[in-house]
Amino acid sequence: MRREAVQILATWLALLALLALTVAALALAPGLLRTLFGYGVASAKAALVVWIFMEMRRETPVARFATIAAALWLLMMLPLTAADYMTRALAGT
Amino acid sequence: MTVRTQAGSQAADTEQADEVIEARSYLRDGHSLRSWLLTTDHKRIALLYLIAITGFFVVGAIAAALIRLDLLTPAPDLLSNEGYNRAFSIHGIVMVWFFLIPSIPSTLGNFLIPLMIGARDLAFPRLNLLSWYIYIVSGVIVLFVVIGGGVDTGWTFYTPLSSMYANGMVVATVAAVFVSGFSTILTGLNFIVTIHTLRAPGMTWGRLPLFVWSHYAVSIIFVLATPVLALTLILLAAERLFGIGVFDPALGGDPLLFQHLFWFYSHPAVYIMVLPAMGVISELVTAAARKRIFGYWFVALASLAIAVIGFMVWGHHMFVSGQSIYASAVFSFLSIAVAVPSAIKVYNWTATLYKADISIDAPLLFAMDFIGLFVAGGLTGLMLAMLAIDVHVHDTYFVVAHFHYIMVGGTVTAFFGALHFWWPKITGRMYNETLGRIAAVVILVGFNLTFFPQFLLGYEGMPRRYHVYPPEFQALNVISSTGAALLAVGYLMPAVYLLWSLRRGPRAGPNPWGATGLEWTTSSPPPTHNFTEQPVVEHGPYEYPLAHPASRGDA
Amino acid sequence: MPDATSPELSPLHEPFHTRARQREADRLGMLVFLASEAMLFGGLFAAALMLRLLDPAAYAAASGRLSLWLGTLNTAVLLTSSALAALAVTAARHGRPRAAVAMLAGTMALGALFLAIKGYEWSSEAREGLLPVLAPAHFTSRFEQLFMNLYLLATGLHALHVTGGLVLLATAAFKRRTHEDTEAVLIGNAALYWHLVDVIWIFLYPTLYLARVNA
Repeated sequence: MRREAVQILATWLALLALLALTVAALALAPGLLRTLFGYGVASAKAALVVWIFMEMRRETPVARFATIAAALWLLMMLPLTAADYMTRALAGT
Repeated sequence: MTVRTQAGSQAADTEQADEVIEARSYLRDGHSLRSWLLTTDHKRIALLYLIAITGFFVVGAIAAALIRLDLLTPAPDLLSNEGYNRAFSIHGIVMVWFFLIPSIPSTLGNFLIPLMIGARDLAFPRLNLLSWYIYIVSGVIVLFVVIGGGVDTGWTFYTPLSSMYANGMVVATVAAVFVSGFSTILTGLNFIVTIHTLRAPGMTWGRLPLFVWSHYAVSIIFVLATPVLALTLILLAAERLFGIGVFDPALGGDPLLFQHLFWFYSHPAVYIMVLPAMGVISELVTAAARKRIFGYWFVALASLAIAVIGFMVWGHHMFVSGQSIYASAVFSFLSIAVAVPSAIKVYNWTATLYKADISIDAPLLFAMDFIGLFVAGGLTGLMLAMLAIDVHVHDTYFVVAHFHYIMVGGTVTAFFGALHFWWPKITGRMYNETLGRIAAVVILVGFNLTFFPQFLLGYEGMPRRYHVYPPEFQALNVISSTGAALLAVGYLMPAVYLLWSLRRGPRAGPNPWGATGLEWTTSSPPPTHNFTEQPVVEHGPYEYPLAHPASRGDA
Repeated sequence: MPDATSPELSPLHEPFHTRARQREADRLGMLVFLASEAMLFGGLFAAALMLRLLDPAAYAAASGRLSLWLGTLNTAVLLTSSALAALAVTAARHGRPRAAVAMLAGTMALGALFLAIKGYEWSSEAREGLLPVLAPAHFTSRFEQLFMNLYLLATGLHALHVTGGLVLLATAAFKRRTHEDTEAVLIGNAALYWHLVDVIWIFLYPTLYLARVNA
């Protein structure tokens, strides 16, 4: 049990470090880079929570798929919707 | 399918004490109202759903009757403009959410999935009952709305009409639909977990009936699409009640955002409506042909492909809404792509029937109706997927005809076919076959008379959601309305002879069709726990000829 | 070896034949449910994304009106509570029920703290005239009004789910059977739900708080 508790503690510290990183990144010039960085870090945090805290490292492939299904489906929804908003100005439609 | 059964609970890892499993039919297992309203038996819950959706079908059909009556003449002489708007809105809302979406999954899916996989019930029987109660609550709200005069927004609730200008009970309607969504999410969850964890020993994924594959695919859509509808309706209610501004350009919002969010759910919703129907057809075709399905894995994976690609095509409802033309082009391409798995299924059903010794019973006739009408609807769908054509026919009766060919010609026909095919299993009685065949033909003729003229009307330019139209369109409208009357007769017929068979129909044996499938190895109707002995599966699905064929028509 | 009647194990429900299967089904059921919850918030993220694409400068300006420090603090609180929940599950699985309940209590305390900070944040925003609900609002722009509306809706919906998560955690903490459940079924599922609530906030944070122009 000690080993697992240490892993959880280590993950928690990593999460807090990542959080500090995103706040520090506000010093970066606002823009696409900073936004991508913010969401990239958020994804890393989420991955840690899912893999370690939610114990996906021990789960069956089916359970793992169920856990990331929403993320995959949002990867269908968000870019396709954004495609409309980002290209409206292009053709003058 | 050859099935070797084991006695009692001798499966290697069973921990329950041996029990005597009752062989009493589920219909006889308790007669009180309480035994029905507090049941956790998936078969009884299926019947509870069947009664409820039939009621809603009648409500939606009455709205349709009002529409078709008003359209007999070019003048607005039956309903006022507002009244007509409310009629087609209620027709769409009730038919989509309260009839079509639960029709096959919540009745036949609930009844058959545990039987088909060799389980005693779904994974979460009490959750199943909760799903039904949630559906009933939402149904009560929508009935309250219907009595209260309804809404005039169309079933699509487009903003800013619905959020700012509409009269009528928008929030109440939206609440009803919101609540109904939870029923379907829980049903989908139940199906997914059931199919993963409760398959009988030997029932590998490759031995599942295609009906189960379709319902698995549908459940993915239930779970992942419906919550987006829930959120969209929350946003709509907040916009209407509090003016939050998310769909209002004056505050920086975008009315088109509503359409994106709405159709992100509502396009997959149409696959919710058609995938279970396709699963039914796979069963009807193989049973009538007494032959293995052609290309099992193609059909199974096509269901999953439709479920996935179906999430990426929603923009084809928005080609003329102001959506960027580049996004529209992408959606157009993906919409054409999604037709491929559907077409694969149609080819495979046809190939299954090729050179088969086919019995022309009502289920097969309904299946043939489906295939023909679905192909017509699907081809016109491909037409609509093309930008240049859609610009011309968007918001005309062409679109109306297209989706009725799929949803009515497709799903409702498959629903009736399924009802006939599994009627002996559900009730233990056989219906009158001659009347069944006649009903299938009447429905086909009535349907085409009703909806084919609408393709022509739409192509000629008659807009949808109008009850005033140029007089030159009247002839086709009259044909359409007449067809609707005939279609109504076609739908009433099974109601009569199926109910009649409950009292006077000949009793059915376990396998009156001589079909494969675990559901046909147990008695008709099945006992409460489905099987008297745990089935063990040793062969693939659709292994015809049966090792112990029941001769057709035997009791 | 516990038999079918011993109270240490969770009861076997119809239609399962084995406890292992039932456990697998319970967990898969919870994960599928979490997927649907995530899609619910997905719609909100889509709305936020579209608004940001429509007017990035106005979005950033509106985001600057929120309190970055309270948002960051709340993120830290929730991350820590998730860690405690994970520890609770580990403790339960290693047969340490009292430690598990203590960890759960910690999780719940931090969850309540999250809600308290959120409530404080909302009330100070209302005092500044940024929330349209109870106090009269003085927005510097119409887009700011829309942003704050969306912020209220998103964090309100999230807070609702935090509350639901607290109820689940409390159920797991107080159910007598949990103290003896070395399979950690109920604790496990409650913790899973809690982790999802955390993950949603992990993405709400950059969406609402980090779009600002500077710190």
